[in-house]
Amino acid sequence: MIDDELSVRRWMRLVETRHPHRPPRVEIDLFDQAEQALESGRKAERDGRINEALRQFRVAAREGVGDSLLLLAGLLVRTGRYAEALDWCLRAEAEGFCEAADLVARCRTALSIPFPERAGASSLPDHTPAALATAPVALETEQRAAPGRGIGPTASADLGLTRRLKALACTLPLHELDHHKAKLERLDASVYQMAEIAMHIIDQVTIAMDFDTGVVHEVVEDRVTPFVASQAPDRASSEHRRVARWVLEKLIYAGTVDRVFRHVYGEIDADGAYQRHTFDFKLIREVPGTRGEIYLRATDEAINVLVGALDTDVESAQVAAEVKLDNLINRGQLEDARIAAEQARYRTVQYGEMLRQKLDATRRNMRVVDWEHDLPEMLDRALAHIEGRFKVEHAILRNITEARDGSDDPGHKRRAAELVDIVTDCIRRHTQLQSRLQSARGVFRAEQDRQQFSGPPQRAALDLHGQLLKPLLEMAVSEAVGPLETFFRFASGVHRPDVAALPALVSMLLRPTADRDPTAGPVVVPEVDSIPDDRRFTDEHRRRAAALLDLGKEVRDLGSLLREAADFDDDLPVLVALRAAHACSPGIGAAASREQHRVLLAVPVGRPIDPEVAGVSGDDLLLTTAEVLTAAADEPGASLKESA
Amino acid sequence: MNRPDVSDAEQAARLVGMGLRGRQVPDRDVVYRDLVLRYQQDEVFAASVDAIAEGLGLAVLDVTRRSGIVLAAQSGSAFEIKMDDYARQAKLRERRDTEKVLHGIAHLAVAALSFPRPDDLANDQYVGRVSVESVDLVVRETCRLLDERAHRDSLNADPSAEEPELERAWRAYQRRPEVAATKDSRRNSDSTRGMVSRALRWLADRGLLQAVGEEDDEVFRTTSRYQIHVRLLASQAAFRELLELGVVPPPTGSGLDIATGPQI
Repeated sequence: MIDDELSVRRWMRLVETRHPHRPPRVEIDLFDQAEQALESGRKAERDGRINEALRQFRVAAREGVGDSLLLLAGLLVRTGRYAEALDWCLRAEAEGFCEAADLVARCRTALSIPFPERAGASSLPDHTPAALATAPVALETEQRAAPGRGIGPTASADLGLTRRLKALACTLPLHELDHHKAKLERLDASVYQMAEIAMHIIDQVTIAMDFDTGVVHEVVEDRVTPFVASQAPDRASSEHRRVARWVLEKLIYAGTVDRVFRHVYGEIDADGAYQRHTFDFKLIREVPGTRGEIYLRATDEAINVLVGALDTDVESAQVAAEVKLDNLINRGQLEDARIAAEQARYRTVQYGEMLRQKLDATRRNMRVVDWEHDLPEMLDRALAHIEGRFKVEHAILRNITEARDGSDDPGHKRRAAELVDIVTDCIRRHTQLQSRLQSARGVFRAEQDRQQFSGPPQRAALDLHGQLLKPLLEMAVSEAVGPLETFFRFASGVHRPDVAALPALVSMLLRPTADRDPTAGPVVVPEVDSIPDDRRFTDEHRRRAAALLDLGKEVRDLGSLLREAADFDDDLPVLVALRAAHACSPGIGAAASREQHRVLLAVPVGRPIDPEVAGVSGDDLLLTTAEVLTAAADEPGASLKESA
Repeated sequence: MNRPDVSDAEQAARLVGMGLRGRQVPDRDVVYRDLVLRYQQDEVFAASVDAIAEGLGLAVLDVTRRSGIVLAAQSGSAFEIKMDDYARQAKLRERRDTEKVLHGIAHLAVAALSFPRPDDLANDQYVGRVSVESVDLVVRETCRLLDERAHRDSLNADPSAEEPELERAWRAYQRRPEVAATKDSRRNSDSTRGMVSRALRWLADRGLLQAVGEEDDEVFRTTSRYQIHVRLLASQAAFRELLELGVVPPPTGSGLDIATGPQI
């Protein structure tokens, strides 16, 4: 009630200063009477005679004297007579007292009359014929005033201001980057737009944030460095990377041990006093991964700054974004649609993050989660939400795929393809989320088995979480210190004081330092087994075969060569035969590139080798060697002719 | 001349000395086991052990086969552990109270997670397991619920800028980062996980917890001594202070026996 009184007084003062001569001084008795009634009404109100004051105000208000309408309405609201108050408020509004809009809103809330219907006239008391006449005017005024003012008490308007102030604060770290970029040593940072780089980093972190993990520092740097490079292409790439790392660090480390950005803002509280509050926020958080590594995640604040929807409900904003997208596609404005789709994806990520926190809570400690009502409801809501999103997104996907395939403009095609990618990604994220949601109840049952079904306590003991940890966390820091110190002292056992024993101390101090061997010890020479030689042809075989086949200008048949080779052993003829067979199509190109001067050539004679030597059979060959000439193209041909 | 039986006094003092060495347990030491058995069976010996401990500024909490002799330091004795010493390494630029509260919460949360239910704390056979991650997550979750409740209860739940000393403990914990990389990519000890990790290692150094598995896993299991400390002393004393502050209502008929804990 106190705030009502205060606000009405404020209006009174306002009206008095603003409309000092509002009622024209008409020389009518009725008017004078009304003036007197107003005066006595004010006096009665000051003296606390409410009913008397109401009576006098009503007389004055019928004639519309001064601010009597507002006074009456205010008093009626304070005494809880909302129906009558509403009527007078509407009249006051019609008279041009725009302050009455707030009172109207309050009356409507109290009477739970919905705003859009504007059915005020039906609920008006019958002793106010004037109100009916002015109702249409009042409705117009109201429609103007209501949406901005909100329906709650006046504090709600301030809440909107607070939210905007907080949203504004979230952008401050980005601006400060540009102010402080001169702090980068040995570097002219004026060409870099730090705020843009920061936005880009937040983008990258947000997109890379999956359901479980975030993204590691190096990956972010890798992805952002090209963007930095495009701002100053002539600088060194190491510098680009340094700038990227600097911006990333500035986004993570806010300079305090808590690593939060802190913003002080003020608001008018319920008592009308100005109160300063601190708003702590982070843009990029470091979170631990499963194997002890550190990941980066974008916070809700950062996502909000990025998306630009600074004060909206997650769910409704997503719906809005998607409806907008549908519209855009129907009109063929794909570029705009792409931006909207990206926003929808940010929303999806944000929503996933919110649900992940709730599910994690469930898994860890079922006693702090209400499994009877809250959580099942939340799971159902989330599943319903995902179901809806699936429908919308699949519809969008179908539409864009059609748009992509049907479009002739390559630009449209490309943009539609990007859009398809984005929406596919959204669907993938929803699927992930859904599988988590479905497993949640299983987690509950498992935890219930583990935590719930245990025998009755054998001995009285405290519930450490509920009876100690939670109350202590709720206490102010300065109060909680005492009990926590006590717990620490008694829970951590006995301290063993150090007692210096003189003999031990002396011997420790006098002990010579052990000489450390400067070398790392003898080098061990490993014993290496030789590889067994299981080749069929030894180096001796190869050498002899080469000697046999080095024919110069001479032409010989294979049979005679084989017989000559058979004098050495049984394997040499085989090697000779293989090389001869290979010479049927000599690798002249390879020989030329290896700078061999001669190649072996073979031409079949047309009769078998007779007699068979060392198991080698087949057509007899004529063999010779030819010189390889690299000068002209027709030279190898010439040497071939020569051998024939 | 009536000579006092010096050997008995020596034996009793030896048992007290065993209790000061946190990592010794009767199951691994025949002498210790015999002394524990004698304490349990010989009333005269038990009285002399209690007297020696009393004289040193210690109190005998319990003597069992599993835990050995469990000693607690009386306030003001040479064996007392002070939070100021523990939190001394904390940076002075931060408000000391906040640092102490965060360290205290880390220790309390370790106990709360080691013995999640009253049964577990009461059951001598129960062995709890804790890891750095789970402790931090539990506290964070509790903080999140308190945060949600604060938002539900009032229009503006942000802390006042004019009265920083009235800041709630959960807010201080929630604001502190979980992990933070230092320049040489080590874990930062100022983060909450750093604090929890320190608490666990510190307790393990005193033989109150035992590391399980690989060292890097940072998983610990509780010992019988830790359970006795928490059950008989720490939780009772802290709860009594909360009662005196009027933060929690006194237990009604649930069988909680606050007064029977040893008064130290």
